[in-house]
Amino acid sequence: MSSLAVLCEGLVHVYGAAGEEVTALRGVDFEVSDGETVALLGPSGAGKSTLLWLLAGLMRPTAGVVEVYGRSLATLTRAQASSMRLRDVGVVLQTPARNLLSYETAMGNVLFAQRPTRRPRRAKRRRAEALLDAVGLGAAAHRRAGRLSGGEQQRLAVAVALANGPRLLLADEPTSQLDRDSARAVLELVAAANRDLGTTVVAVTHDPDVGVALGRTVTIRDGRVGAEGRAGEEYVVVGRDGTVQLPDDVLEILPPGSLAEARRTAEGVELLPVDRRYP
Amino acid sequence: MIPFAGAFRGLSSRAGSNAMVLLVAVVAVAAAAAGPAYYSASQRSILLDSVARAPVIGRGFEVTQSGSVSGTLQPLEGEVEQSVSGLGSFHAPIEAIEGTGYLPALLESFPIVWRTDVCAHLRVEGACPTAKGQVMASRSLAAANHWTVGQPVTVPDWGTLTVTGIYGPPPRPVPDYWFDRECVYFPVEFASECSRSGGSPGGDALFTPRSTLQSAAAANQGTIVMDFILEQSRMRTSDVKPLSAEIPGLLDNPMLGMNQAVVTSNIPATLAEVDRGWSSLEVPVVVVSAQLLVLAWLLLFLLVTDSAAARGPEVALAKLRGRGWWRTLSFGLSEPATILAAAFPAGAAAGWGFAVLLGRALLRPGTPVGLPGLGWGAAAAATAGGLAAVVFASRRTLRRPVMDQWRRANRRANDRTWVVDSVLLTAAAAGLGELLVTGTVSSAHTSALGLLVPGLLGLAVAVVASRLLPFASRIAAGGSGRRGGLVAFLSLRHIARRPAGTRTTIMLATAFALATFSLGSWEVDQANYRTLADAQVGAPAVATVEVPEGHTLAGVVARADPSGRRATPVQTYSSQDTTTLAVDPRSWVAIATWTSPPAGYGRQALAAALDPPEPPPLMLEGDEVRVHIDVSRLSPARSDLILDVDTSTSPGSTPVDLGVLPTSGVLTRTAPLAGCPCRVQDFTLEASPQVPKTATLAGHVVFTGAEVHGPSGWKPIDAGFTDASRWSDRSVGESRRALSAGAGGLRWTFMMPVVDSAVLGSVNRPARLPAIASSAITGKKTGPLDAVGLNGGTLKVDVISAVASVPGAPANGVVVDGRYATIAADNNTIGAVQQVWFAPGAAATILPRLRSEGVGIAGVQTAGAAAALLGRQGPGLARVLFLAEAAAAALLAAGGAVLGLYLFARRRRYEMAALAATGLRRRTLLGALASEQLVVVAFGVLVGIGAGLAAMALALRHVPELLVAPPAPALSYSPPALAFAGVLAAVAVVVAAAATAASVTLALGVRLDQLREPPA
Repeated sequence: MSSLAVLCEGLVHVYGAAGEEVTALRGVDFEVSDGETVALLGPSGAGKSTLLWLLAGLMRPTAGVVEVYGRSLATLTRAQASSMRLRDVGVVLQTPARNLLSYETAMGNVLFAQRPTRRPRRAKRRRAEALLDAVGLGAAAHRRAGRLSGGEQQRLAVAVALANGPRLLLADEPTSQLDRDSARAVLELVAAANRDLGTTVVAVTHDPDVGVALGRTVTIRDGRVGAEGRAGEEYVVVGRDGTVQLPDDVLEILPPGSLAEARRTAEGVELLPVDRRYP
Repeated sequence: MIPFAGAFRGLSSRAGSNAMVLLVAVVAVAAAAAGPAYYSASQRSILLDSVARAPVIGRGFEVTQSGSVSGTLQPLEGEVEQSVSGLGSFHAPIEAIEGTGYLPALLESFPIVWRTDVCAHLRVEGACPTAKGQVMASRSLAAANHWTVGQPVTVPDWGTLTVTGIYGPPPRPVPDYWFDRECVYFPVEFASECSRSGGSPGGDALFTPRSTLQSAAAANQGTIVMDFILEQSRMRTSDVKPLSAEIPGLLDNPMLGMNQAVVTSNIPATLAEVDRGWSSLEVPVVVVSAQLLVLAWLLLFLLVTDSAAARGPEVALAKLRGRGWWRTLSFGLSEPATILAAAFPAGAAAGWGFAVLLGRALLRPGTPVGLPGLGWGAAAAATAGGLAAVVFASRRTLRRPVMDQWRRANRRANDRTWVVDSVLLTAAAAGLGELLVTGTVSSAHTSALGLLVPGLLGLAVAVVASRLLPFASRIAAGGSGRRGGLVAFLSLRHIARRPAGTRTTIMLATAFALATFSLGSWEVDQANYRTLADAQVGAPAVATVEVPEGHTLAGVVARADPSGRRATPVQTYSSQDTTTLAVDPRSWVAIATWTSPPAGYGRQALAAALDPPEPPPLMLEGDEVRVHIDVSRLSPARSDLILDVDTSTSPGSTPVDLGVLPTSGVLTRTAPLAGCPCRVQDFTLEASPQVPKTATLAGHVVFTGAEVHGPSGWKPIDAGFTDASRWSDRSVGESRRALSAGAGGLRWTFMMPVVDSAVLGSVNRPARLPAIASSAITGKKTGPLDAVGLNGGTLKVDVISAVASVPGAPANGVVVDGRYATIAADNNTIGAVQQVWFAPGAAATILPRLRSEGVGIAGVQTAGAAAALLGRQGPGLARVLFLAEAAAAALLAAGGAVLGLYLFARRRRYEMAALAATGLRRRTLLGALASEQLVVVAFGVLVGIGAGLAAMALALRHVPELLVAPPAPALSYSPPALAFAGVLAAVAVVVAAAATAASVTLALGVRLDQLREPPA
């Protein structure tokens, strides 16, 4: 069995101060193996991005366990979190411009990401050139990032995120603001990183193509992991408290508010509707 | 390490806002560096001005020792050399040995002098004496003795001396060489100048080589002189302290004192004046520089706060990419730090350049302006302060978590701004209270600390006002929302919620309070300096002249200016209490600069009042005069009748002896006249010296007629003997007298002690001359006053108008008619200073004509130069610095405010794009932006101007503008309203235009595709 890249157990995160609290995650249990590619799906406000930021060490969880390559992020200092992002975690944000220094060149942006590392300058430059070639921006290495198209910017963002060879790549809606071709190119890059470099990928997305492109999907609903998809099959996830979030097609039979009987069978569990409604 | 390459790219990508930050930083550093540079140069200027203005004894010292002329100098030289060895900055001493000669034939003594390099300072005909026994004599001494070049002359005790040259006195004596000894050496040649100072009796000096005196008999006593003068070109401000310490010791030097050597100097007084000037500048420079430095720091803080906020996403990105605390800090501060690094040398250079410009415009011409070590230190401190402001301004952006930055959470930052406000308000109120409570700003004091008032008051008002604007906008926004005015609603809503508006108001209000106060105080100063200069000089230009023999001042002026409207003759005589100005009333009233015109008089009326009609003077023109007299009784016998006349050829009255009168009888007395035409002053009857002093002079005499003998024989003259009003008894002392006239002649009865004389004066002037006088000496009253006459005697005047300030002698002037004053002085005006006053622009054309008339021009003073000199005093220099720096700060604050508003608004482009996407018209957007910016800027500017005006009312008259305030004329503290309002309005318009332009730029730059960009 491969080692775990990400481990979340009973992860809870609450935003805001007293009196204005919003619970974003309500006990998420979630694992990602090293080298795996996972798409986090779910409606807006479900907590996908919160989970991503927690994995990036940008926030501390309110409760529960969150680990990246065995390191607990709940107790990390800011400096340790920075160090982790520098060495182990690359992040691609939703908005292309937000990933980059617009006044820097494409090459400069990749070098900017590498600057804190102690590699020789020449090595950094070689790696930057290789990455830019890999994302198809070798010819645009010396163009300012602000002058690149949205798709080019997002490809550059992937290159920047991979600049220090992270083991974990976190992407927040990486294709949401791109046209179809650009989105496909970005996904190919992400897949290539996983294939060629063994980079673990966790991507938040609404885009079904992304889900298809990645190895596993995890659906977050109402702050919990509601389902997982593997090899095209969708599975519900039984929560720590025994709750199950039913998939949409099942909800058509058992709409919210229905009574159902859960019955143990030889194959497993059977859920049957009862002809009685809540008042 | 700060990544400068990346910083430069970042800098260039935000060139506009960074240029403004750089400009502010440069100004902050320049404000700090300029103060010390300007102060240092001003010190030098004040020092050189004071030294140059001081009399020669105030810029040098003189060592004198009495003793034998033959062997005293050398030992004295040695002692003096020891005593002055540490002083420096003095020219090599000018030495002199002064003996005394005596010519029995002339009954007159004269100095025999050796003086260092004397021939270079005299006009010598013949040869300069170079060998022992050779001398050169003055023109007057040579003429009196009929000496010629090459002639041997015998002087008792000095043997036979050979005259090798005849010298004329220096046309313009160089004070630094002659050291005020002109009247010792040239009492005859400089008779007019020396008469007032009681110059040496006797003749002019014989100059001879040192060897003549050194080989003289030991019995020949005299004075050894060593004159030291400060070498101005080498004087440094650092010389003042050692000089101040050493000169008093030199004046009381025990070694010199033991040898009876006397050291005379007024250098301590000059240095005290220098010190006063420096002190008057010291505090204002610190106060002004500190205020503007703090303001620049505040401005820098505000701008960097905005630009740091604008860089927030970049800093967040750096954190996201795993940069640690230090690297994030260096990344975040790299741009402002780079700007500050550039600002340090640029600001120091700018401050120095600014001081150079001010120096060229204001300081003594040729004053070098450098950047002293203190200037570099101040620049470094300003840079460090700027860095602190930058760190303080950036701290929130640097410490803010990435998620907060993305979510633009405020983290209750606004809740803490009241702390800053409270600190500012408390500091301002405490500062103002301190100034008021300690009496610094009170009716009884003047203090440069008053310059703190505008800054403190501006700050206090600004803090309060800045809180009122959002409050008022919030209320108004509600109203506008209900009424549906979208432009007003949007602009007011933004003002109500924006933190930048509060800061902008504080910055603008404080800067404009300073600028308003400094502009007002500068305008007041300029007006007052001009008023003072006009009053002190009296006219746009005044030349002090020497009229050649045989000419009168009025005559040469009339020839040089036939119009009589562009130049006017003025004779002045100053006593301890009053200065009499004897003028030609008609031209003088037109040319003199009146700072406080006489009430109730027009110019012509004033001229007429000063020159009332009087009987024409009794003039004698011929070679003999004859007087017919009927003596009824006279005692004692052999009393002498003298006719006193004024001639144009010699000063004072000339007696014409009519001979002894009998005790009774009808007789005619004849006497020769010399130097006439001449004016009769009086008849004087004097008892014979042999008469006992206890006797009484008494008599009854009738003057029946008079004739003058000319080329055509004897001709009767109208002596006025039939008109009693043309004569007056001017006998002094206790006497009884009576005067009447009729067909039979002028009957004069008198009785008095013989020690007095019986005087019968010709009436040719008012008994009391009508006069305009300074109210400071008359107590604002009119009426009789005893002033000083042109001959130094008492001049009885009748003050017809007391004015606050008399042109030319503001506080102690007495103006009388020059013709009458000359008569009253018995034509003895050699002690008076001769001046020509010029109308504007007239000096350039009339001075050459005066020179061509042979008139010597001793000096020309202009009101403009006098005003400039007043402006070069410490307080004036400080106020100009204040104005220049405050104006720069105000413009900077205005620019900074507009930029700050622009940056703040730019960060709202997303919001504006969103508004545009909802269909909001561009015009509405522009209107909302422009209204918002104009309201914020105008509010700050108006509050600042109001605070500045309040500060003027509170403190302006308490800030010193002169080293010593003169008693007259009164100074005004109201700036010229039109110019003042004009400048302020122009500035307000420029600021409003800049705000509008920024709004237009922003509004035009709003594009819908900006919605794709992240909200900043």
